[in-house]
Amino acid sequence: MDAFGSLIGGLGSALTPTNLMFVFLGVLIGTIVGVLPGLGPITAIALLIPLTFGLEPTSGLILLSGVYYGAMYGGSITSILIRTPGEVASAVTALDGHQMAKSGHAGPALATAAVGSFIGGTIAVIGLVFLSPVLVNVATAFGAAEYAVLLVGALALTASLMSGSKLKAGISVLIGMSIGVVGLDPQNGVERWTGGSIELSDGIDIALVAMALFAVPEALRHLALGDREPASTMHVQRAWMNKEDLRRSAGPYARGSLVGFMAGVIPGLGPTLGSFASYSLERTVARGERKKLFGKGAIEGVAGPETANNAAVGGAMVPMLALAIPGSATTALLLFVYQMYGLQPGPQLFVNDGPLVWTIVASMLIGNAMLLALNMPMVRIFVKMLKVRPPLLYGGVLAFVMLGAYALTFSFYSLLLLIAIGLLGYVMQENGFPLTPAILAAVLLPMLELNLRRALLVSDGDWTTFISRPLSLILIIIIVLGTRVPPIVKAIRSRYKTSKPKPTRINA
Amino acid sequence: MTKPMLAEKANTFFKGRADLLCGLGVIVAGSLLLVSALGIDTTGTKAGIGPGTVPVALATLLIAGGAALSLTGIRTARSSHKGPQTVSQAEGDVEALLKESEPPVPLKNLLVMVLLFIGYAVAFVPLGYVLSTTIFLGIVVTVIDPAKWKRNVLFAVGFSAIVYLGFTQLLRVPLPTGVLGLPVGG
Repeated sequence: MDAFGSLIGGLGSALTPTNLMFVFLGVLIGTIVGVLPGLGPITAIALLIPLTFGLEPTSGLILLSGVYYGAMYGGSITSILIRTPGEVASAVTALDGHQMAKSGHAGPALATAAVGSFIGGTIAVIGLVFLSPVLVNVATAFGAAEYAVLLVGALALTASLMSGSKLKAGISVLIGMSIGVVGLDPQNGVERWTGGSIELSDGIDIALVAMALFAVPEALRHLALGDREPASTMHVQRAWMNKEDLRRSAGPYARGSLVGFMAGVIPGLGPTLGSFASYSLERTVARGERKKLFGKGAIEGVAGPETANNAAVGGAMVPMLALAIPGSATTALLLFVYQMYGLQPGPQLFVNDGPLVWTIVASMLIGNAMLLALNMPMVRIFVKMLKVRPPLLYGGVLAFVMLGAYALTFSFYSLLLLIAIGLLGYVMQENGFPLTPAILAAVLLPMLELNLRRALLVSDGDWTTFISRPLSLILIIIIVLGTRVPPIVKAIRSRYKTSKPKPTRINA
Repeated sequence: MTKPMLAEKANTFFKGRADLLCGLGVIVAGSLLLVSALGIDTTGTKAGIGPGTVPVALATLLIAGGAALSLTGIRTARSSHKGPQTVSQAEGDVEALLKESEPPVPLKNLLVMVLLFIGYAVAFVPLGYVLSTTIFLGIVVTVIDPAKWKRNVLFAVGFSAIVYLGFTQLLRVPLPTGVLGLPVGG
């Protein structure tokens, strides 16, 4: 099998001592940063990009991929023990995980999450190995029109599936796209929204945008709140689960892997929707007494979502690597890192840099196993990170992002941009504008515009090209159904719910 | 009226009208961007869209989005607030959880932190990484926890020294040396 052979080849190069060291460092640093309250995978990657400046592309990408899933797992430790998720994807875990911890089952909750992360992550990598080449083949049939439609679809899906105000999510997309426009127009070299400054003509660095939007608001908020002591946490010796826990988790692990992977593969959905969908699914399939336990410490409510959000990480890598369309905000940042190293994801990446891609994919497989081996016995060391004093932690975060912003361009201008976008992010976050669509939009805008222009150039300015091309039309129909059907179903269900005397639970 | 009462009144005023104010902010930003977008040179544009098309479309949509948000803000401010109508239980639970973990931020403290952050950026290059970071971290942590000044000083000096050495010597990323004239890597 071709893909399988490539993976074996990738494993060969991933197992070299240097690469193994970077995998280890990645998952270790990722877990540590992910455990820190309020810091999720995207912040972890944004903060650590400066660390990879001096590294070879393979080492840097292996390190940052490790940071991604390490931080995903680290976030679940925080969710379970102190109920402060680093990001929305692991917020679902907090619902039942924290209840388990409160009733003295912190060890089993952490073990369930660790095993789930491993299973979800591993299945997703296997899915990635076999699905990526298929998607690469499909992508060869795509023209600029199809790419443009797919990109618009990814943005529309992201905005429409965010919880909270859809209007605000839409405005967030527009703000992100506006950030993406700044700089010289790639085709005509005309200045756009640069205010005449030379520093802005290269555009705004996505790593800077990510640091400003995700790290600065969180740090400013915590520093302004002035907490001196960390949240109280319970004492955990080790993460372990018994046979009964494993038996109850087996179903959620299987379903979570599938749901999470699918949510990850569809551009614009990603881990958040994966974990929500898995939680809802588990609650639906649970029967009798188990169903009543949801929200009160059901192990299924930890196993499913934790498996799903890690499976979605691997899933989101599929469209990112094969089509250059990231499935989540964090993969959008990873896409930027690939470009930073001079690699352009998309079908050509597998042709031009095949060995590198397969080494990274194989390293993800190794990283997942390492994460499990690291977390089961060493969880109490990571729990110590929860005891870092908030002023030191968030002061350190601000100092680190300042260094990160400076190291991107070595200019004072980056520091000003960091503050300006950071304050914009703060205002957005405080007023319920989701930040994820903004970063995704900022990354996708240049690609969207390029493909839109190409498509219209080919069609001689005829906009009907998007519906006259069969493939493009099919994609449009799928996207319209994907964005319009869920709200309609919700509306119908809520009507059904209010008309019934005994309300049934309705799932996300 | 006492100062805290005034501040509280101002807080409730802003909270009740947050959507309206945000909407107006988006309209203003959109309008400024639109003016700038209309000035983009589009000569030489062939079939399809030119360099100005996407910026003009984005700015227009921002204005429309801002207007819609303002209207929603006016409507919610007028009607009695019923709270979010979330159909999905999981979504509702998570929203409640996230809200609960986010208490309101005191504006005065926020302003102090923002000013310190801006000051840090301004001093970063002229004073150099080590000095500016030590001063910034020292002040930030001492403002919050003045009793533990010894720990604060140790942290500020230790953090900046370790990060400086790590980046300049191990990772070969040059950082501003400033007035101290420290060795640079790279």
